[in-house]
Amino acid sequence: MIDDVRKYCKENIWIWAALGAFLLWLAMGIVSARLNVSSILANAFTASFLALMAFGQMLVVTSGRGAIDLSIPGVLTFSAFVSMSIINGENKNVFLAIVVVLAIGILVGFLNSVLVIYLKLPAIIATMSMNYILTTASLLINKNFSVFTIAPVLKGLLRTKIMGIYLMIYLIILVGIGFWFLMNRTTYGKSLLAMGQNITAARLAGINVVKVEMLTYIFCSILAAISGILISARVGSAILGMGNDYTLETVASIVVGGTLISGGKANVPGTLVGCLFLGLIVTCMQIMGFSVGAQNIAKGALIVIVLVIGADQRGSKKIKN
Amino acid sequence: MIRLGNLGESTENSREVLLEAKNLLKVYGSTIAVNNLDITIYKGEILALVGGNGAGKSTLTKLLSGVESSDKGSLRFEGEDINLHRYSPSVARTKGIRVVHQELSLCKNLTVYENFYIEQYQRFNVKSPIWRKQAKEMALEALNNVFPNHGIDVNAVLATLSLAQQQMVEIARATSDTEVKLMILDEPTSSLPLEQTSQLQDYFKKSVKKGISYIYISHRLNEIMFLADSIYIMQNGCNKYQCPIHETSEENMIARMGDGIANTNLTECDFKTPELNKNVSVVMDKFSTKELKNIKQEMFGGEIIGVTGLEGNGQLELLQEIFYKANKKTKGLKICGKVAYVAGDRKKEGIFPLWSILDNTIISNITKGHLFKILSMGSVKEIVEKWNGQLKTKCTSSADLITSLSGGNQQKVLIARALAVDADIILLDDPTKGVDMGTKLELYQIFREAADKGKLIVWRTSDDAELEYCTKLVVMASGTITGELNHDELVHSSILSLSFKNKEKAEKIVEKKKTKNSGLYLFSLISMIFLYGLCGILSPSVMTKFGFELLAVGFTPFLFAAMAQTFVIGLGHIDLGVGAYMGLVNVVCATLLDQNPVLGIGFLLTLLFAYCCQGILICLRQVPPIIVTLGMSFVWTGISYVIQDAPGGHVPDFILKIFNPRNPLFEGVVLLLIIFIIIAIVFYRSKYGTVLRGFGNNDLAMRNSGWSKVKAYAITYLVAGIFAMLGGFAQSAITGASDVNASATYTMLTVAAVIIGGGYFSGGVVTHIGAIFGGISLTMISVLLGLMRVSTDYTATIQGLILILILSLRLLKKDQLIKLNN
Repeated sequence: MIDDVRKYCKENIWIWAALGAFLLWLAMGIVSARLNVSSILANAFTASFLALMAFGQMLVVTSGRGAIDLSIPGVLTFSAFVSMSIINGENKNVFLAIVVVLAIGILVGFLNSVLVIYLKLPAIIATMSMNYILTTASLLINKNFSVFTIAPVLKGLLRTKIMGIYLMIYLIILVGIGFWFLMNRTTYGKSLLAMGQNITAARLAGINVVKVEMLTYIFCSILAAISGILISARVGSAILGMGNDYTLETVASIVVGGTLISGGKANVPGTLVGCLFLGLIVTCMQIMGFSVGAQNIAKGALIVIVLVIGADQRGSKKIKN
Repeated sequence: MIRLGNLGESTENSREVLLEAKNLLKVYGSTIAVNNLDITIYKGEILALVGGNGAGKSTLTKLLSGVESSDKGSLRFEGEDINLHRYSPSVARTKGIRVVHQELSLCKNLTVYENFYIEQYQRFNVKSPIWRKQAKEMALEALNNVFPNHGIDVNAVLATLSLAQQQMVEIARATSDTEVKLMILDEPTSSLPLEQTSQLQDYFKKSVKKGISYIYISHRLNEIMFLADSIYIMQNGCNKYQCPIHETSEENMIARMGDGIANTNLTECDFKTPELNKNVSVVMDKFSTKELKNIKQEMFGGEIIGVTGLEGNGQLELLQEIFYKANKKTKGLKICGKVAYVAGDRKKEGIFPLWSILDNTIISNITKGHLFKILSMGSVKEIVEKWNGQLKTKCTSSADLITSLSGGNQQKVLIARALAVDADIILLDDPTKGVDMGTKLELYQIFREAADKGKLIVWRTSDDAELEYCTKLVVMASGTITGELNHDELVHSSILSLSFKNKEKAEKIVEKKKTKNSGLYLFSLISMIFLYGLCGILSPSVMTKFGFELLAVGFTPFLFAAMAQTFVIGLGHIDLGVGAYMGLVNVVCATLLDQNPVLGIGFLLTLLFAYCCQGILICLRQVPPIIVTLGMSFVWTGISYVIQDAPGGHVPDFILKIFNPRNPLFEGVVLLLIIFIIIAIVFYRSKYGTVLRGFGNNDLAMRNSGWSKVKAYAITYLVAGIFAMLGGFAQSAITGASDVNASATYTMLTVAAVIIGGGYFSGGVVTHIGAIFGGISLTMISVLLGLMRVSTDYTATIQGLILILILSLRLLKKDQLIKLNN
């Protein structure tokens, strides 16, 4: 019995993140003398924005060989600027903005995958360069940018609550279920997991790795682009550098959630829990009056500590192969 | 087979025990790899260690050579007890025990002579640069000794040599040790040409007379019969049989290894007249690719076609072309039927290590359809059980991890994968490599049955004995099919004569591969000069002393960072924290160091230590360096903000003095930069620098040679930290105050500089001078953009695009070094 529990915990590292989240919530409640569910729900709302991008990062990381998408902040910021400019606070423009932003996501993801697959660049170099290009593009838009109104539809989407819980939380759980299904019950998911473990073997097993890898980068960029609309609607405008934190936060949340950083193993519920945990840490530090710098230290240290504690020997050895 | 009769007798007479192991035990988890084993080796004896896959041969050699420590038992060497707790590869070497591993333990980014150094370092007690000369002499002598007329240049980088030549270097290196008393060789001849194999055998016979003993592991029984004095058969970690060689025969050995399964059900007549299934076919008519030339061949269902010839003459390419082009229209190639591929190198090309046996078996089935097809898991289990049963895969449950199976059973799973997907054409890439004899015979039967059902089997094999199980045989040489034999023409002598016929061609390939690899940094040098010239044309002031000084001051911090990055990339890592770290050093300089020098220096030393710890963490916990350095970059920036949240402060005078940009050019920052460039280059070429480069390519080999990985990682990150810190100082001196973000872009730019300078992400191929040239080129680009009045907004983008461009251009250039990581 105890062995079973131990084995389950070992396979589902996110249990610890869930436990951590619970303890943080408890601590927060005791410190502020207000132990209630609403504080955790508020955090879940914040975490749901992160989760959307974390799913994308999870796919890229799962594709293996040390791949990380560093272009998430660039895509997010750029699509925020573009969508704000197009919508200009009016409902009728929202649809067009979504179409344009999706096109941006598809294009960026496609370009990333071309750099990685056909030009054989390491993923971090390809996506880092892409991030610079997108940052420059945002910089240029920013010069003539002055939109500070949000379309009512988007406002409504973010403010709607069902049974006291934000609609966004329901949506992100639905997306999570979708991703779980995608990873475990579709050809794409199985192919991605296989490819992340051993790309040569995947190719020789008849998997179309080019298609799978291309889709992976496109998914990731699309999710970041959609997040651009949502986050700009939440923040109230598009701001330069608004996406910068998300590279580390997406990586941290999936690592905490038990996705193998060397690829080949993804954990969807873990990613959700990881996002919540990370959100709670940030909130906790804000309550305790930590500066932005201290928050950065904590986030960076968290990632390293989780990796060091949870290092899967077999998984990480593979990186060199 | 011919045997030197008197040799055996001479060892009989002087049976002096060299090594005696008693009750050796090694348990990995729940499997007993070596079970209470006794083994004795006499002086001047060649002991052949044979046994099936998973019999425990490699574990035994690891125990004997100190790579793994025995859980129990004792070792006596030359009558002296060995303390098993302190036994390590380097202790073994000092006693005179050496191993030639199956997987080459050479660093492919180093030259031949440097490879001699990293393994024989105990024999070098001279200072630079004499050790190079000594190593070169040692390498040349050793090669001449074992392989006369080897034709290998000791200054050549290993990656530019052919596989056979690399193996020759590996063997020669082991023999060059004058102290060696016992040499353990694990499949040493697996990729050697015939001539070199016989040279090696001659060498063994010569050296046993000097009293050197050998443990010789091989699956090539005819070689063993020819060479060994006695055999030692292992099974399931135990000694199954042991006798002098003249008391046994090949058949006898096979019988004892395979638990008496040597009798096969396959009779001669099974092979003679296969019933051709014309619905399944591979037809090649004047089919040519880069490696294959003008191939004309027809293959049909029901046939088992053996693809043979000397290794590396296009056999593998032929299989892969058939596999990858199956669904494409290709000129000269027509394929009818579904194709599946069974890889022989299971670990590299076959299994998915994180998955169960079940998932590994059905992966080809479930990935057949379009990408968003929904899978049903129920039917899958049935298929797996069916094939596991038919192939007699030994496993307790199909939910177990594939890695819990032995090599032979893993191979069965891979074959089940091909059969489960119901392929018509099954391509076998040496599937019985490292599989024990009993399983081999079972596999032959499986192939036979599949062919009987009308499937086409195309079988590349490196074991000539297996050709007898083929209905037809095609011999390849230099990428084309040179001969075709039917089963009844398959006499051993005809295969042999074909091999001899091809030998000349094979050696030409060996020669051809010797390409030069120099001027890694040539490109960056040219681009630097070109860009400087261009800047000079646009603005002549760049060419003046003042202009140059201004430039130099600008790029100095960045170049220090580039050198730091060079060390890290040289180890095969990427440092994503170098820019943030420099920012932190800058902040500390302008604040703590100014207010309280003692505290400041203490803090800087702590930072250095922390940087070094990254390396230790990466090594000990095997975590990916990219993520660790990425995480740490946030920690560095975070600390910077905590210390000082807005730019400002004051950089102390002594730093300004050392790095003062207002000094005349060669007294200030540039001089310092040049000094440190020289230090970096000299350090990387020094003895320990060579070791660091070695770790960048093949850390297992380095560890087996007795080098500490933790130390190498720690030193690399420490040195990188020192250079990054110097960069931070230079930055402080230039700005005179702190600015966390001033060096933020350096992280990407340093990576770009190293790559432009001819570095590679894998395999420890970097040059500092190249990184410097590359770094200056990048700086010149931003200067150029400034001169062309392009907004600075574009600078990072353009530099990023240039990095992409250069990396892409490399693809076009056919470079041997790209293969380093393969």
